[in-house]
Amino acid sequence: MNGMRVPVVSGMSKEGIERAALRFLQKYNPESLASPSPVPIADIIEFDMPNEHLNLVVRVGTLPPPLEAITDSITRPGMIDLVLDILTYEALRDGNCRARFTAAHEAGHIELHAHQMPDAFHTGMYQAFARRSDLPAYRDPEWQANYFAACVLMNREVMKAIVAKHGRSAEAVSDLLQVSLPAASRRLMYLFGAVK
Amino acid sequence: MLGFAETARRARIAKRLTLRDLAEQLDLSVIYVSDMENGRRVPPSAEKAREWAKALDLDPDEFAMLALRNKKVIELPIEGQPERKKDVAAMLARSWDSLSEAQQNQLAEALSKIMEGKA
Repeated sequence: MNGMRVPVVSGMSKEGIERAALRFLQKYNPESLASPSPVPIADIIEFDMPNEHLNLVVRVGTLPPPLEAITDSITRPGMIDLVLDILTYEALRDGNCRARFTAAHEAGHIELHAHQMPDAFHTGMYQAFARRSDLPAYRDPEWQANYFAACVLMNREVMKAIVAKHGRSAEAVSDLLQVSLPAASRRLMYLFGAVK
Repeated sequence: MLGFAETARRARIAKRLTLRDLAEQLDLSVIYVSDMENGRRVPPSAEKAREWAKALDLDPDEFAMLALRNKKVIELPIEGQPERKKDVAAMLARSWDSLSEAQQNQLAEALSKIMEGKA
C-alpha cells in the first residue's frame, strides 16, 4: 500500500497528534479518560461526530476490497462523506477490534485532514496527491490517521494507569480497551519500550 | 424544509438509534436504510414511511407526506376502487399540468378539510 497515492497534508508530529486525540476524547468521551474503558468509537462515529460536524454524512455501503472505509472531503465541496463498508460496520457494531481501529482511523481523517482539503483544492496551491512512499511519515495522512487512532483508543495516561496495575501486559490493554493484541503491543512498545 | 432523507437521518441520530437496529425494526437491510437516509433511493411507500416514523418517534402522517413529496412520481392504486374515486384520480392526473396556483390552493383546502375530518 506504500505506492498508494494520498492527498498531501500538513506535517504533524506524534505529540501534535497525541494532543489532537486528547482533545477528541475530551470532547466526545471524557469518561474514557477517567478510568480504563473501551472508547465507544462506534457511537462516536455514528452519532456524536455527525452532531458536531453538520457537514459530515456517515453512510454504509459496499466498497471494493480491500477498502474497509473511506473519508471523502473532496468530491462534495464543504461536505465530508464517511463511507463504511457493510462488513466493517457490522464488525464495528459487534465490537470487533480491527473495525474499531478502522473507525478511529477514519475519525482521524475527519479531525486532522478534512478541513485541509477544500482550501487545498480550491486555492490551486495544492500539489494534490503524492505516493506514500515519497512522503516522510509525519506528512503521510494514513500514518497520521493510524497514529491518531492508536492515541484515541489507547490514551497515554490511561495506558500508564493500566501498566501501573497490570504491568506491560498487551493482554490487559487488549481486554480493557478493546483493541487488538498487535495494536496493544505496538502502543506499549512505543510508550514504555517493552511488552510483557 | 428538510426532505425525507435528511429528516430521517437527523431523527435517527438524535434518538441514538443505530442503522443496524433501525434496519432490523423495519425489516430492511442496513445499506437500504443508509441509502434512503442519504437520498440515494426514492422514498418508501406511505405505509413504510409511517412504520419508519413510528420507529423514530416522528408524526407518521407528516413523515408519510414528506416521503410522498420527495418522490418523483406518485402512483395511486385505483384497481378495485369505486368508479367515482377512479374518476377523481383520473381528473387529477389529466388536469395536473394545467392547474393554476389558485386552483392548487382550492384543491389543497378541500383536501385538507377532508383529512381534518378523518383525524
